[in-house]
Amino acid sequence: MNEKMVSPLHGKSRYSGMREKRVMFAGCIGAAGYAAIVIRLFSLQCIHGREMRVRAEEVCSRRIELASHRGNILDCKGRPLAVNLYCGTAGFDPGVIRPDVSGAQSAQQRMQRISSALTQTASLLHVSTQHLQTIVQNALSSEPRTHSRWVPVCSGLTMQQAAALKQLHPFGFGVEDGMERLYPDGMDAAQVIGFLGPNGNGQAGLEWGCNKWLTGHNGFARVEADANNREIPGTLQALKPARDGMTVCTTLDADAQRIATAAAKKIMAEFHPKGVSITIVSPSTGDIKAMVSLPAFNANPIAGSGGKRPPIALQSMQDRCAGSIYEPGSTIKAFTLSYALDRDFIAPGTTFYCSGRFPIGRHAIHCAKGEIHGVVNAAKILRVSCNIGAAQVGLRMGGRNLQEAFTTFGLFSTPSLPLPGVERGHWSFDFSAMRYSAAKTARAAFGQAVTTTPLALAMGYAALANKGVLMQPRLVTDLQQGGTVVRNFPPVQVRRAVSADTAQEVMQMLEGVVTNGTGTSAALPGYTVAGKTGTASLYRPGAYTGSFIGIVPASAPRVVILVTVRDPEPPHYYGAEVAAPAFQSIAAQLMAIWHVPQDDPNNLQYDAAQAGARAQMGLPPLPENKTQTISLH
Amino acid sequence: MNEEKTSKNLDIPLLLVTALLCLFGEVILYTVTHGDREPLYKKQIIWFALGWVSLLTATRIDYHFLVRFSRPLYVLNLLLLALVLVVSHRVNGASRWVRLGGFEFQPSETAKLFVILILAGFFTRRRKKAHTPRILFLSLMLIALPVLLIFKQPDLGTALVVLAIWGGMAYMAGTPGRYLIGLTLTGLALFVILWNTGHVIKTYQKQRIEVLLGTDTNTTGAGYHVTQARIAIGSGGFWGKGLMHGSQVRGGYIPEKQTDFIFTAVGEQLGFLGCTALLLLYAWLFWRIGKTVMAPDQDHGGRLIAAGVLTMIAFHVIENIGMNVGILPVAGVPLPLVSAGGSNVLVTLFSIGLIESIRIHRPEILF
Repeated sequence: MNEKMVSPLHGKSRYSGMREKRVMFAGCIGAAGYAAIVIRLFSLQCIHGREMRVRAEEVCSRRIELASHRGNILDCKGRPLAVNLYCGTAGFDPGVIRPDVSGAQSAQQRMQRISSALTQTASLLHVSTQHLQTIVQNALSSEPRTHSRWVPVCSGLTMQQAAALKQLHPFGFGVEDGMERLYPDGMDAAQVIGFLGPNGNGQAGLEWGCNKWLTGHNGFARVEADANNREIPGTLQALKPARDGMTVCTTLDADAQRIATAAAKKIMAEFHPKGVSITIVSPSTGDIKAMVSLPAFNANPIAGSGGKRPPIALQSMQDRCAGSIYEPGSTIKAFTLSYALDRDFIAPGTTFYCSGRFPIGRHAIHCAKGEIHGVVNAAKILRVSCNIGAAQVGLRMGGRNLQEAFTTFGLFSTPSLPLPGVERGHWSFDFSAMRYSAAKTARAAFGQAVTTTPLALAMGYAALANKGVLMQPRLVTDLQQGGTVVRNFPPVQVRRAVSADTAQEVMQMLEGVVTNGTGTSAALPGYTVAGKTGTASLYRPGAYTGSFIGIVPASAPRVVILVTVRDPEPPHYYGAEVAAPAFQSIAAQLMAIWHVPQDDPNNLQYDAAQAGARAQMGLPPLPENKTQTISLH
Repeated sequence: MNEEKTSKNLDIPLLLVTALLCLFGEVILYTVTHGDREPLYKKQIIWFALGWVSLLTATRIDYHFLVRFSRPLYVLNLLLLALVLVVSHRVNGASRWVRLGGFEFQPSETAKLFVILILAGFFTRRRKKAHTPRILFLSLMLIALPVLLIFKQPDLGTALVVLAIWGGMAYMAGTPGRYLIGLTLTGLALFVILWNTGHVIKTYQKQRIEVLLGTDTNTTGAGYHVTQARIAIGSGGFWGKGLMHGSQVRGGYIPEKQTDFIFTAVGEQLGFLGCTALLLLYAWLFWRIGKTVMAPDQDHGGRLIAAGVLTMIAFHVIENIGMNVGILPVAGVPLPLVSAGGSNVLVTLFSIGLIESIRIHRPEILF
């Protein structure tokens, strides 16, 4: 059209000339339009093409989050300690009141649809229509201000309720899927298992320590969606499937945990101590069967609160087994003596004299209850818990060797456990020359002026029970992903602490403690018990930590149980009084549920212990046929 | 009229380019609508068939005859336009269609054709006085009624097309350019006054202009169409994403993807190359029609009709693509032979038939 055509036949009339000019001019306008379009197209497609393509992908690609689930925590028999449970939240979208959201309807129609949907939802969720109406009214009235598109109306929906609501799909109502963490055993092992923070990460216990394994990895799918947000089939651009967290299989035994918790609660009720800890370990593997610390908490959500859990007192979060140190008292004497015997500082027949008072430095050492034990050997030191005898053994070894003894039994090393705040014991917090003074050494030999954790103490006794081999405490056995074990943590030997013979020797001495020593109240019908009482004074005068540690059965040790009772109300504070009965009750139940064969079916030790106890109290011995027995299946 | 002359004067390239455009349009329409429940591309085939019948019919009819009968047809069309406003089939808030026994008909489309014919007759009869303001005024009066009726529907795009046709034909008839410029400026002034006062210009029309001028930058509101169309076209790049791979258009991000915004599908799927090819096809079409306008042995009436047809199609093409790429305000104007829509296909093909008729029936018969 912008061609200048000159006819060779016709002369240029006035009109034809004008016509040519006009066609030319019109052609130029058209060409200008064309040029503008082409330039624009060139700019859009060739210069900004890439940028535009990115923007186009932004417009139409949708990222769909694929949620992953946190792994479960199981006990040694596969019973759940921490699990996920579906917990949906119903919500209302106040945006539906706007015509551009809900389509072209009149405002009256929209209100009508909302109110009918409200009735349906209320009946489905079993909430009062009045209550729901209030929430919806508030949401609608604040909508112009907030432009909110989600107002939760009811939480804690079961999966069935959520599915029903999704299927019914009432106008303006929807469901948000969620997961809730449940701890089936409640307060048992609360500090060990821990709990989650608001962001879904572990805050305490194994939930914290194994967080990296328990946490799943959310996946996503990137798909093309149309303008109505519907996925276009066959347009999957990227897919990263969600990977659920791993299942953590622990060594904890829910039964042991429950039994121990019950016993600890009983102690709390009876003696009103500041705290109780019960540590149960398996000597051959170092497996931690139970760790109980009271006071404890329950991290389960309050029913119907939509995942809210009761407030947890800081003091109840303290792990009193692996996460706190204490002066163990007499229970440490077993390490002093076994090391002294093993390294030949003393012989089993070496005797010491206990006069009831042993001056050292500016102070003097006494035995408990002001007793005078006279001539004592290693076995008697343990049996009667002679402080003066133990102090003399310690002094014969010397401070450095005594420290070495405790170090050998692992009292001063931090165990590698996936728990927060795992502690270790200390020989001394005093770094001056006084570290190995005679007073310090003498006191440390019977468990004062030296600290350890209940767990480390139990592991040390487990080494004696395990023929002198110290094991590393183990809490996690396997990590499982989708039912298959992806990682295994075998039991780890730390070192040989003492020779098997020495261990055997000391075990027999410890049996004597229960048979006719301080620990008679721990005697167990049907089983031999090796154990030691401990009563350590705290810094506050008149305050003590009573404890009992026992190994059962003594001939073929299955379990080491340590019960510590911190600061019980006087007059009862001796380990034999406050801790040993709890040990006895726990041990009896564990032996029963674990079907451990009896090694003392004739109750020789038990009868002796009972008789000794009666004699101590000035009672006549029981007739032979009235001996109490527990028959086990 | 004899067969020899028909075959000699028939503009074969014009038919060829028209056929190519129809094919192009059909392919694009297929890619856009093949997934729909009632695919428009199937209906479009029928329209194309009917259109080609009308094209060949128009070729056979002597255009002088049509010009002579344009007045009753024009009056009939006016009645239909009035009818549309009374009993109408509303689509997207506009009443543009009448149903005639299951057949949807858009009188505003045919109005373009009859305006061309009646103006051709009008200017031919007053050839000697064509440059006077009186004739210009009378010709304006002639189209004022249809323009107002179409504007009332509201169909701003078609109203502008009719005005453009009038402008183009008046210009070719010899109206001095200064009158046209003056009238255009007056029209613009009137528009500005209407903008600021009454309710004649609808809010959405104002928004479209604001979007173009960049005063409305809301990508989700009124500017949504334009932004999405621009993104879709730009995302095609130089080579395009390939046929059937237009995610933006297919995903429904482009409103009116099968009609007003079908050029986005071209841009997205065929890229700069395809767009240029389509523009060249149209340029070829204009060239063929332009040759008829320029033909030295063409009578005045034929020349004016050709100019009217050329203006009509060119205005459609430039306005449509211009609004698609975002350099002109959005006005509902279809892309000839590519956008879905029967009335437009029929009218476009019939008017191309008219061009052929003009070429065939040119020398002997004179007014």
